[in-house]
Amino acid sequence: MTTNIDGQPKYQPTSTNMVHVVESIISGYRMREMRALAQEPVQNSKDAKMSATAKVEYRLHQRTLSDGAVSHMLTVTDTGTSGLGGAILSADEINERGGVLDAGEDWAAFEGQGYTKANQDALGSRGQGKAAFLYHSVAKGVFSSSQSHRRMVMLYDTLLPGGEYRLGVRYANPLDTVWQPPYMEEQARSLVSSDSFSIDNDLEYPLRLSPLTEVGTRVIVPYLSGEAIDSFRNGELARWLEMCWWRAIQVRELEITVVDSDGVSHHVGVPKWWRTEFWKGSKDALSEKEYLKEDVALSSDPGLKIKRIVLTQDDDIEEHKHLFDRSEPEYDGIQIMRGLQWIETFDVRTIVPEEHRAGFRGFVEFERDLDRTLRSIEYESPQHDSFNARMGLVRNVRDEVSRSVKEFCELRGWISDDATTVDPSELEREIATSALNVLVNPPAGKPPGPGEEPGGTLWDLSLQVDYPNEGTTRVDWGQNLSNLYVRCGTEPKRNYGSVTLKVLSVAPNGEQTAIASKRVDMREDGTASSDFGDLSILKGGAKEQHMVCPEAGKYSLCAVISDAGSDLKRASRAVYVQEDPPEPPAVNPITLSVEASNQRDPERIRINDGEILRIAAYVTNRNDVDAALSLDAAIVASELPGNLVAGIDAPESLQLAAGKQLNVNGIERHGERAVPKPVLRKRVRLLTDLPTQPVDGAYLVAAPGTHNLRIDLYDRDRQERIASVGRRIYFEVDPPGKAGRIPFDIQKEESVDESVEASALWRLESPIHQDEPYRLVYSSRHHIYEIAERADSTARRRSVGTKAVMREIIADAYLDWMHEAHRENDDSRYDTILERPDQMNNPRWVRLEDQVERFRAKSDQEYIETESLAELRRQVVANLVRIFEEAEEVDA
Amino acid sequence: MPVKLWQKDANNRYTSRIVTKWDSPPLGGEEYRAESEELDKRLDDVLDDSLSLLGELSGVSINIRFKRIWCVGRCVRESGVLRLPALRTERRVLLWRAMAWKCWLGTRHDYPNSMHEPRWRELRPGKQAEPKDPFRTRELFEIGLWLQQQELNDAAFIFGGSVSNSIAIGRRTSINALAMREALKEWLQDILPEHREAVYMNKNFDQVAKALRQRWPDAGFGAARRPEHYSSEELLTEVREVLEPVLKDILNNQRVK
Repeated sequence: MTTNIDGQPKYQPTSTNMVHVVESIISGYRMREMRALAQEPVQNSKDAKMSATAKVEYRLHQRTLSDGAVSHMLTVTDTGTSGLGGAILSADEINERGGVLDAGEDWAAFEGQGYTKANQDALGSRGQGKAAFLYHSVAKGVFSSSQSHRRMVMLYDTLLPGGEYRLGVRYANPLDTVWQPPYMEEQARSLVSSDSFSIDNDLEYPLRLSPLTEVGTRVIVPYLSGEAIDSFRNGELARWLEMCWWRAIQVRELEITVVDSDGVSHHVGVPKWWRTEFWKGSKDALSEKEYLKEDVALSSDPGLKIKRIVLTQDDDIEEHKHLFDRSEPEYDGIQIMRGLQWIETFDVRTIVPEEHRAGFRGFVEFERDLDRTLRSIEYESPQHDSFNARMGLVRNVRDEVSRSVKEFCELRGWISDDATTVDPSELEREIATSALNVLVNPPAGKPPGPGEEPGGTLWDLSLQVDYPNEGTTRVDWGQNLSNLYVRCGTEPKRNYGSVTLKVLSVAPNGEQTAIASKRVDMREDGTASSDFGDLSILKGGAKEQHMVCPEAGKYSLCAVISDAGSDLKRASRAVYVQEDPPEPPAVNPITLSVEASNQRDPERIRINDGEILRIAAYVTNRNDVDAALSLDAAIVASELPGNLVAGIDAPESLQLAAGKQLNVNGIERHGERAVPKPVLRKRVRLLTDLPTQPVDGAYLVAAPGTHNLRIDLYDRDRQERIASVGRRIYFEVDPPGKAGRIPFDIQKEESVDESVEASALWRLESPIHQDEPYRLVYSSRHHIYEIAERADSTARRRSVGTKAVMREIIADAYLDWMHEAHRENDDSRYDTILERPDQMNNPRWVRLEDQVERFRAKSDQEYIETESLAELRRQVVANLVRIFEEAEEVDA
Repeated sequence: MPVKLWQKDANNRYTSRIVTKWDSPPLGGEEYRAESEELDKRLDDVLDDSLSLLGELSGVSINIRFKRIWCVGRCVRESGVLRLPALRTERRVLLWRAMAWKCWLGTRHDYPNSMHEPRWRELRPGKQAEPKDPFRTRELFEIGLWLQQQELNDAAFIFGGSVSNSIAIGRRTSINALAMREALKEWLQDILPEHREAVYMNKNFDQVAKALRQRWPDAGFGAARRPEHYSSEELLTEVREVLEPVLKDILNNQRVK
């Protein structure tokens, strides 16, 4: 057991500002503090369950303080559990053990912070339980003008199976302190029932509680917040508890009671629409209002199964009254339960017609293996309130649920599969194609040199600069950016004569200002470089070697290689003038981006016998630490059997990299945009027969057909998978579909039943087979489309409505299409926007790059599309639509 | 790839047309008649040679279906037809379709001047009266071509002389490399003969193929390093690691029954 140096019990101080930590943890809950309070205490009790049923009681107490003020106190008591047993360890002792606690060391786990428990996943060891209680303690000082004066207190007593009694105290003042060693036995019993428990010099609280008489744990939250008191009185807490735990209550794993300060108790139960447990009976006995699908194997991993998907819709079920916010589905969707606990609700608003949504309910639970798999930080948020949609397994589950909801709606006759897809009108296809062409047109390369094939040169460019302030890209007026140095290189290494290196600044509105320019000769090794000296950041004036930044905000300093009037490559560094860059996001995936194109004609997807496939892969590390990675790459056959060519036994595949070790630097300063680092560049000549003459460079003898370029990226230190990217290679065959380089086929959906209104304007259907293109299906029965059609008939400019709606659909769908690959850490699609030298002089595009970066970064933080993410989406879409319009004006 | 496709009309007369695509219209393709007829003639030799090779191997005690597709594959390769300019840059689907009809109908290139060759029916990879299932036919000819990369005895040893077993590995492109078959052969040689017999059962062999495919997937992580990228020792170690538990499972299931 722990002792203090002087042998006296006291608060053990730490340097953690616990008030901030608690607020930060609670802000991470999608539905904030009341869901945390309903969820975390019960989850701890359920995990510590020792009998068939764990009982949990939430009780509100009223106390009069010594100054006569009325205060309320919350106790959450569990029985049928193991209590908080195990060794009592100080923070230092936990540190000495490398932050690892053994199973059963529950007391130390409850008191500790930042530990991991042996044989347990990382979920639940981040302090959410403590935060859920502490957040609701508002000890005096909270009304001070300074938020830092807020204090929080919680006490916890436990009776262990051997009869041992412990009382602990956690006090955030705002630093995190824990009373150590805890009060024991009779002293603990006596303090729990005391009229005046001294927390600090100016804080005394009349606990007046009876000591525990059954094995279990009680958490005591004095100075209960007004919000928590209200939630007791208006029944909100009980409703949260029901929503989180009804399934565990139904199978009798839990009993939960809420008791208010008048002693009136309420047993938390099961919502009435699930009380009959109709899914337990025969499937034939289901009424038309009920739906059940069981043992659903996931296509990605048939060993993992959804145990059941249960749906019901009854007009007698009242519309759900939201506890948090209407934008977050609660009961009004499909509750996804993991471990009998509500994690998130699948939103059915895009599937179920509005008139049937009020009485629509559903839940999903998993077979044991899938349930266990999902209980990991990889799949589930630490707050247990959402699943990570970046993971294919989660998307698979959602797809299955979505299919079931559609099936149910069809069975009920609300939606019809009579909808037929047809080719869009010529005008609509033209609008869509012209918009997509703006996005997917390959960047213009340097005009070919003598003997050089078009599109054959890859350029590298780096801009080095010393910032005035350590570790940040913030620069204030009057400060200097020093030692500007621009270096460029070509791949393959070749001397191209001379090129122009330019330095320019880009203002927050996208406006560009030239700063300096030099013509430099390239060296034999295909590189060139130049010093540009120092640069002063000024608010006004316009002199050489100055960067004029009249407003505070994010600027960019850019270097550009240019030749014969075309800009070939740009590199930029962020400069935050008079303001700090935003805090880096907590989640920052390392991403892989791959280009595979026909060197002779980058616009042609098909590769013919003897032509060269150009492959380039880039890794982007947006973290502030360097990454040690390894890379495998190969061109492999995807047909049966792809290796038998012209009767010779050619190698089945071509290995391009085997465990290639990479070190990819992280960003050096806050606010910097990470630069994709080229990690693989290959040119492979594809042949249908063994070459009769020596071939310059790598070649692969392959059968005509489709082949795959596969690249896998791993974290070398942590032995983790980072990204796996594939590209189809069409050798001597044409790619399927009409799209060509256009990323999706476009189809219009028309419903046979004109009274059925489409619930979504468009949807992007992923291909089932790799060879198929994506399908963007938009509905002519959606009211926005119908409004657009009406606008066409009344507008002076022909088809103004259709054009607007089609452009918006394309922009929105393109964003989804890019992000789908990013979920697997494949940024190749994002790079169709972010790596576009041909657009570097377009201020609108420069702004678009910034918006897209922010959208991508925000998406990485969110497991679901939040309002703030939706706002970023709207900004990107709006800008894209303007870009489409401008491109059309130029064409016209 | 233009091929001459023999068929039977409504009056049971043999007719031919030149097709350039799987779904070619009934007319057209005449501009390729010369090269198609040249190919047709070469296919006569392939089929004759296959029959003759099959005869030579009549004493070899291996499943006849397995022997048949292996023989056709070997003769196709040795004939050099795959290196004809018209075939080099084309998928082989039409070639297999033309060959299948020739087997079924027995029509030589100079029909009606030459005799029917009813014995070619022996080479039919399927049992149907007509090659109505073109994909299955195509797959079997293709598997034969793939199998003949090894000598008949080796191929038969690896797959227990079973066409189904060879398809289980052959159609899984990430594990159908020659290197994998060599490793499989070694693994099979190392296990007891009675265990080997259990593995050869179609259902069990499918389990083997699935386990290997899980270790070397077509897509996703692991797809960038295929069996042929390992040294033979490394690959054998990996194969053993993957297949030991599979073998245990197979044997346990046998005992339960």
